[in-house]
Amino acid sequence: MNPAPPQQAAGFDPVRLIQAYQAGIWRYLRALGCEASLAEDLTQDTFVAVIQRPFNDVSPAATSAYLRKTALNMLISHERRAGRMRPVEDIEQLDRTWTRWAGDDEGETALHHLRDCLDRLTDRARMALEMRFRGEASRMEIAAALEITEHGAKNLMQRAKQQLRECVEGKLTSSDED
Amino acid sequence: MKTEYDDDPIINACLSEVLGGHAPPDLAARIIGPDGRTIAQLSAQANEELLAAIPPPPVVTRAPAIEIPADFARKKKSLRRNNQWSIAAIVAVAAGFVGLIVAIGWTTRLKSPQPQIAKVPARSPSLVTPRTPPIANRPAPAEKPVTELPIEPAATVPQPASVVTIPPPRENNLAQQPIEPPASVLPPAIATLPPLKRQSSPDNAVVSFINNQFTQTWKQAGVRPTAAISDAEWCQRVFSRVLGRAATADELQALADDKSASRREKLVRRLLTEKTYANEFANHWSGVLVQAFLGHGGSAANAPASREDLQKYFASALASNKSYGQIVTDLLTATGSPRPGADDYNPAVSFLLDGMTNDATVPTARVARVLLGHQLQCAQCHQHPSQGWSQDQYWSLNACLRQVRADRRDGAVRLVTSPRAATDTVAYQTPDGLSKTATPHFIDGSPLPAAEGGSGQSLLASLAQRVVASDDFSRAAANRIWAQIFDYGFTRPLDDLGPNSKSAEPEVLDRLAGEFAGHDFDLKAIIGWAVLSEPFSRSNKLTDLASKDMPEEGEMALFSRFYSRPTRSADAFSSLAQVARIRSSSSSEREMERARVDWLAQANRTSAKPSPKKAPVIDSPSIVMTGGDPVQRPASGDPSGLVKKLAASQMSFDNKAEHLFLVALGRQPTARERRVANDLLRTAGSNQSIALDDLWWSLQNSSECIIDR
Repeated sequence: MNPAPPQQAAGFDPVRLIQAYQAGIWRYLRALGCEASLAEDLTQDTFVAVIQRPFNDVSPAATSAYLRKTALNMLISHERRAGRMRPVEDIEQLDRTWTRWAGDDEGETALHHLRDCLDRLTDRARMALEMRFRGEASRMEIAAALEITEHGAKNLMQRAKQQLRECVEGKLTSSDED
Repeated sequence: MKTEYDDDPIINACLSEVLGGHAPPDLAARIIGPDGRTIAQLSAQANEELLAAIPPPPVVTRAPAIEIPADFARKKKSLRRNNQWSIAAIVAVAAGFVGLIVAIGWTTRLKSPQPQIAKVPARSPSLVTPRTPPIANRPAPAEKPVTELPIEPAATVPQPASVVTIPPPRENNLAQQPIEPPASVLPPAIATLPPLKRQSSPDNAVVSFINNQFTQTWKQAGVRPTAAISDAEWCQRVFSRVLGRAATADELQALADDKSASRREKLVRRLLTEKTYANEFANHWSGVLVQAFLGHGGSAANAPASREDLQKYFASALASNKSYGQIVTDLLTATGSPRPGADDYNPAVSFLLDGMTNDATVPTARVARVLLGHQLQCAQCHQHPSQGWSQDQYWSLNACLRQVRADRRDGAVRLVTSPRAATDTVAYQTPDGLSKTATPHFIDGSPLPAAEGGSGQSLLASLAQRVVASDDFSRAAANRIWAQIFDYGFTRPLDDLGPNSKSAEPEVLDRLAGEFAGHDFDLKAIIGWAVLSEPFSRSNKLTDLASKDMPEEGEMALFSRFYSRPTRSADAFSSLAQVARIRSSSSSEREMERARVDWLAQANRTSAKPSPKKAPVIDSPSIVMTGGDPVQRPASGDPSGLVKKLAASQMSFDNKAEHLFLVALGRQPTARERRVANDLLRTAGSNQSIALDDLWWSLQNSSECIIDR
């Protein structure tokens, strides 16, 4: 006998739910430090769990918050099963920051702002980040390419990321006030 | 992602996507199959198909029938007739033999003394119909109807199994022989607990001990305690747990203004000793105690016990600084009516009256569980399978509580002293059908000295004395109060101090229990130690995802962090925005409330996969959780009237909003939060009361709220 399809709550559309929120949940898990493959698995688990318990989709903000909470719980359970001691600076702070960055479009605006902010970096800083994230170069390779010490490469990238964060935050705050 | 770059995980993740091309995958097809079913459902169906593919077991064919000869029926009938005569002859011989034996036995019995048997009043509801012996030979009915029950001879060897005591039959007017209890009948696990050291140390010595012990435990367990919280957050937490309300902005400011190193101790002392706070303390903890002692009992309109009046009793007792020991004594010795207006009105009776029937089994279990921390109820029917409690121990305690009964007269119920003698026995049956009796004893087997005359009232007074003097009482009380402060006790379940309940800190529990007893069961003293301890000042922010300190997941509580009550949904700004949206889109108050609850319930719903370790059942009806599931109950209400006072004040709306931010979040609002707060005012049609209510609701239910619920 075929299992019955999931009980539908008023307005509950699993396909639409996944399409609308999967990117945000995946990004959220990445923001919490997950590798891409783990983020993918946990995103899948999150939606499978949520679909089995249909709910009233009150608003995008509420649904987003609910999905993020579910994803966070999935991550916590995964970490505990793996027995990994991975301290996270402040999960709630990360959660709040990402909530702000995600906004109403699962982070698309924040990423758009990030692209703009990257253009404002110095050439050396941008190059270091491109080598790190596009080329997956090690710190030593980056230092060699830029003719600086490893310590210098580390500082350069940290300052660049700090500038990017402040730039994105500023743009997000301005758009809120508009 | 390489760990050396984990300095800013959000930026790293974004850069990985923007520069590294790691875009979010499309998982829709993986999650939802072509026919709309999820992968979970598809795999469930696949399993069914697999099982269906297994071939059925082979059918066993019957052997062919054997041909019966034609004359078989005739021969069979003849054989049957012969057999019948043989059987009749054998039965006749056997009957004659049995009759001979019985005759000999009867003759012998007439000559020798009667064997001792237990006589039990027929009205005892626990009496079980005895097995009728083959030859009925019941004695002539006595003046008081009794029923004779064959029992084993008395055993005097001390052992944890049930012990049979044989009291002298009353109608024979034998001298009251002292009943010698066995030397020790405590279950082995309980008997090996060291006796409590009752002492009365200074407060700071107790707190230092607690802190040192926890520091060692955290180190040994490899657990990193969370960060210490700010004064503002600590202040809110103290007010919440001690008085049951949020601190006002003035109270927060008062602590902030005090720069002395002992500011926290001074605040706790004020809350626990100043008259200003006495009523609030009594009202809050009376609710805690009534929940602990009655659970959900006494709430129904026609319930014999009165929860409301019992709570009033607790409030009055706490306001007059009655000790916990004295309160329990009152509860165990109370008689009278639970309802006001009666001549014998005594609200304390509700503790024993709730669930009281002729066999007093419900109060027996409650006394053992709530006051002594022992799950004795299983031993009502059989020896406790894991803790060793015997039926005799259960029924001995029950025999004490049979000294009172519920008297129903003229539509009213009251608790009255039973006309039983203090040494009256109680009958019970063992699982193998044997009937036994028990007399009033404490659970450790020691007798209860009744006053001259052996009245029931004096027996209960002795029981109360024994309960309060026992180490179990001190431990159970300390465990319960700690759990009220921290949401988890030292043992799980809370009211089970048996061998299956492990604690990470038995030394702390014992020290607390010993000091509590040494301080004459002063509730305020133990509350003070708990809130001044290190664990109380720890943040509730989880920083280590793989921490061992996860009682929510079934692990032992190590108190390296404060266990937060269900988290709220969103940060303050999002919460404000959401509330504004809900108000503007709702057509009625009811719809708005429903939308708020839905929003909050979604955010608080958890969907974590089950932990590999099965979490033990959390059975803690004594923890205050009024109003149903706290996860789905939004924080609302304004018990201190803060919002009303603000609404009535002459301050500008901005200042009022700022005040609420300070109380709820311990900080000023940001520019955009001020803007959204003004949006709330616009949405409320410039009605400041409504806008402030909405603002208060948003802040209480935001993830940043420092008010502890």
